Amino acid sequence: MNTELKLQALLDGALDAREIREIEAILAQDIQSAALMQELKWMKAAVAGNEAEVKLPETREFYWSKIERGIAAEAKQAAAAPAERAWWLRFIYPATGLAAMVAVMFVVSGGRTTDGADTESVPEDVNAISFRSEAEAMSVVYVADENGTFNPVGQETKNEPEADK
Amino acid sequence: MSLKPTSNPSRWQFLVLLLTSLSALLGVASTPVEARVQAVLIWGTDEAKPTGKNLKEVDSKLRDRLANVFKWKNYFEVNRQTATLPSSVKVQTIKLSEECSVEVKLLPENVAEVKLIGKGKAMVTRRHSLSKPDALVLAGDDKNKTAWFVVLNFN
Amino acid sequence: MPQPPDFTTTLDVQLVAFSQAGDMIAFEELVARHRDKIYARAFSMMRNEEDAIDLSQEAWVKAWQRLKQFQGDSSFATWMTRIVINLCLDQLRRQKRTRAESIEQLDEELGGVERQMPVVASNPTEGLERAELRKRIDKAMTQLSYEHRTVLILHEFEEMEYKQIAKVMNCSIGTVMSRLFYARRRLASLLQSLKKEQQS
Repeated sequence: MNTELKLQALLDGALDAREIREIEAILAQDIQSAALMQELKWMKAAVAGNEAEVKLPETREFYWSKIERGIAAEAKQAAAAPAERAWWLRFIYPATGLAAMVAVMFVVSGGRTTDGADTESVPEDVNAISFRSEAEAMSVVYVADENGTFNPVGQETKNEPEADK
Repeated sequence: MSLKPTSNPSRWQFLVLLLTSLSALLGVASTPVEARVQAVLIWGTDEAKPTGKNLKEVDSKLRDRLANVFKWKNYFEVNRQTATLPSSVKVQTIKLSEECSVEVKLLPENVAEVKLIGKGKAMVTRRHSLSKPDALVLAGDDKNKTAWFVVLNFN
Repeated sequence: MPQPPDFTTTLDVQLVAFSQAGDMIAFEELVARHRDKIYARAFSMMRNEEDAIDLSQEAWVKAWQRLKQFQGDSSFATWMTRIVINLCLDQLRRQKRTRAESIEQLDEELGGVERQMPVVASNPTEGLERAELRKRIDKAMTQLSYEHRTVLILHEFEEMEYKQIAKVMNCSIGTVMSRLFYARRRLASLLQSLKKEQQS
């Protein structure tokens, strides 16, 4: 390790007792090393605890909705992955699912339902997420399209016409 | 050859007939007779209002609701349309801009099916329960880190 | 209808335990509590809002999948931060492979440039208000290559030791030390330039 890196290691508390004695001896004699050490100290002091404060520019519901979707997608993928299972295990999940579905339908059919409400479908090439903000009484479907290929607002509405500039 | 007279329907057949009629009646009764829908096309941006444009800011109440959910600072109303949806009409189309329209259809069980059409293609199809007071907001990314919103209110 | 449980006063360790048992409402509360910190770390590394949002969300998805592995050796926030740091580093490495290196970056990588820099003789941050200091440091950080910026972030903000950084960045301790040394020297030089600009 060269002297400069040893100076830095001293500053960061990464030297043992012998190395500390050695580098302090150099510092006492060499003005340039002392000046460099001072510069490193200034920088360490300036940076520590002075990270810029950044806040997430999205609401709790909106941010969470994509995470929730990601978790669901990963779970689906994991379930679809082929695994070594006993032959009867292949049937137990569909059978349980079917039984649960029949049970749910049986219970639900006893009363009025809004079956099929609050669901959305999108074409395969469209990436959309949906969530509900209870506080604002809003059900939202958000189409993520970084390239902005769909422009319902129209460019002429947004831009200044030449005459206005 | 004489024909044997048709026997009276059995008790089971009668029960099935009764249940079928009842469920058909319930189905008709649960379809709303008429609904009104208001659709507003909104542009969300962090920039100030473009000069020389006939854009107005959305009302403060809606602006606050949107700003509490989305990140943009300013919300400008581009178009607003209201339509009545009699249950007899199969689909009501509301045109909001050159590229964008919404098709609304009333379904049984107090549900509306809303289709957002962009460039002639269905972008999103959403079934929305009218029993809740929620507004339905269809939204998406627009160019230059802005966004579009179609806010639908039913009553 | 039963109300969803209110976890606002529940401790992180309890929320983690609930989440490990599959309670997604508890996990959502953890996300709400730490989302700003995780996003901020991603943003400091990526310097791009969209990437930072995407990667921080991906980190939360990964965390949910790996929750069973969390033993409580560190705080949940520290564990989460490590996940997002790893994802950011993977992304930065991928980006680096696809873009041409500038001559300056190559010099930085080869080392030695820092020795040619004159030592800054007066403290370039002296007398600055905290808000202004933070602003200038942030501005200077954007001008460092991702390797130098990351080493600085991990050492100064995450308080990681050289060997921990070496492990995360998949390089030697010597490389970590040279990168940190270069980053500090370059930062001093950039802050001095900013001070001069302000004075003139």
